[in-house]
Amino acid sequence: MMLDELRKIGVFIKRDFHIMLTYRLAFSAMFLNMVFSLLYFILFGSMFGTRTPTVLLPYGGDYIYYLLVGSIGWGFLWTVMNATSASLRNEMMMGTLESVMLTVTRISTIVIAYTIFGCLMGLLTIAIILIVGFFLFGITIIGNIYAFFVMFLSTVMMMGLGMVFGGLTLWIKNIGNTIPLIQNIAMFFCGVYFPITILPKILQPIAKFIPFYYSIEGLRKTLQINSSLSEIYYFITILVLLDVLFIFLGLFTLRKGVVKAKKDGSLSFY
Amino acid sequence: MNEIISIKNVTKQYKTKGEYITAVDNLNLSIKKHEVFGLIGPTGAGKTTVIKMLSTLIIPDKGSITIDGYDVVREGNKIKRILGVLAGEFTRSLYWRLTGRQNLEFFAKLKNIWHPQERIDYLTELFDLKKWENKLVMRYSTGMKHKLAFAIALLNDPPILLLDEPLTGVDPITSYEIKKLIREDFREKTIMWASHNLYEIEEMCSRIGLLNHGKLVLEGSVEALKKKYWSYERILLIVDRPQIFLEIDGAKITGKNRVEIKTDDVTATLKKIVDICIQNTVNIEEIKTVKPTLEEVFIAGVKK
Repeated sequence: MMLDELRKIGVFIKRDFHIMLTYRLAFSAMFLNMVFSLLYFILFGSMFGTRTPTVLLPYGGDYIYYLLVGSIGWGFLWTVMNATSASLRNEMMMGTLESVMLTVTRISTIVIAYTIFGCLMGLLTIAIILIVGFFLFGITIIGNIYAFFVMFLSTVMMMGLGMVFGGLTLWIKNIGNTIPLIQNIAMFFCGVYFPITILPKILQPIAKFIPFYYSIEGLRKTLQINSSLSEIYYFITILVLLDVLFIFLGLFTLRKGVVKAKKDGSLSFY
Repeated sequence: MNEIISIKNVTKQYKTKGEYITAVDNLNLSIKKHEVFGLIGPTGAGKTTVIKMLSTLIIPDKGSITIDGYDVVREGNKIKRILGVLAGEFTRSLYWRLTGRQNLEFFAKLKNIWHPQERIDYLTELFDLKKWENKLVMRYSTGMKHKLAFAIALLNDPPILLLDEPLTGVDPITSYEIKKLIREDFREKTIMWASHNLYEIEEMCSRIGLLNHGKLVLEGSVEALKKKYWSYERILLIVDRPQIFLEIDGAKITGKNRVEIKTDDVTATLKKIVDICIQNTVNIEEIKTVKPTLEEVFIAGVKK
């Protein structure tokens, strides 16, 4: 049973690759867009020249590097989150959710498959940014192994959050429209493009209440200042707790969402 | 024959703008093994809701539904293994940016058929999709999409088929092929066929149920229902002297040279007609018996 569900995840991912390959222009445009974003960050960072803003000293002082880690980490997390939360919405919009649910496939399998596909796309994005950054601008990111650990825990957290939104989509159809708003508000407080120390003192503690802060800060510590395990232990502990919380909430919301949609007869429309 | 689908006291309501609309009202129905059961009713009668409740896609508010002994709410996965469903806008149930074969492979694997090649080959042959199987579904005609959706429903060779308006929007050739397939190859299957096309229901189903406002207002074989509403048949005559047939009970002139005779005994009445014709040397231009149609049963049932 479990093995079948794992195999089905592979079936969904294969399907998504097949579909993606039919959108060649959109696919190419997406990667070109990434390269231009990278160029934008590099030019933006170069304004500082060799000067090191004091607020960046805890992160090694290089603003280009700061921007790159922030944008790569943030971009990856939200690619995962969007893929997960959009999973059921996409199927409903295409009209295929009912036909998938007529098979012996768990709803969580569909969502996890979308998440993994999102992860793969996110990793592909990172790889392209790093390759282009290295060959065109000589940028390298050297971190320690704990970065992967932080990345993994953050991915699980975003998957849980994506499940919450996926479940809510079955409940409140257009809940997905609020995601960009949440993303922008969170970005402001999480130190993605600037350290939170430049925020007014009264606003700085807000970061501690935003789950993504622990991911971005954990990534910076492992990628920018090569922190040891003991130095990032705090972030890892919080991320583990957030993982448990969001996965539990996500599974609960998905289950409730499916039951609600089956009661309302609304599985086939969005 | 054993009962394979059992619907007991099932009610389903939908909430729309604060008001409850009853889609299915205390429905009781049982379908026997190997039977082709037609569910008819006007638009909004609750046919699709019944099909979707049987398919485990909608949860009933009250009552119980079992298929082959499994409860649709608690044992959905066991039911999905024995069910083939063609419901809703089924051309939308396909991935248009995958090829026909990729669609079949995808759904086969979701149905736990891990080596589906042989089955897919069989179905693409059966539905005449072989030449198109490697083309994207977005390039298919509506008829081909219908056939593909049908092939997907049959991937697991289900003993029970739920078909909701299976021939709507289908061209006459595809429609003929699908009906032929069902008549010839699906004799061992139990089929519930929901439609408001009474001709296809009359042609394909051994027993029917008429739903109106969510209630089952009529149930039985097509012939039994016709007899229930019309114990008589009509004989229509077009002759040069219609008035001489008025001596037959139930005869009346309904037009120039046209006589209509209501009768319980067609054979005896025909004999009388022949006698009158011989005695009076009447020229008969046309003679036919007119049986009540399912449409008339439908209208009577809906008005009931």
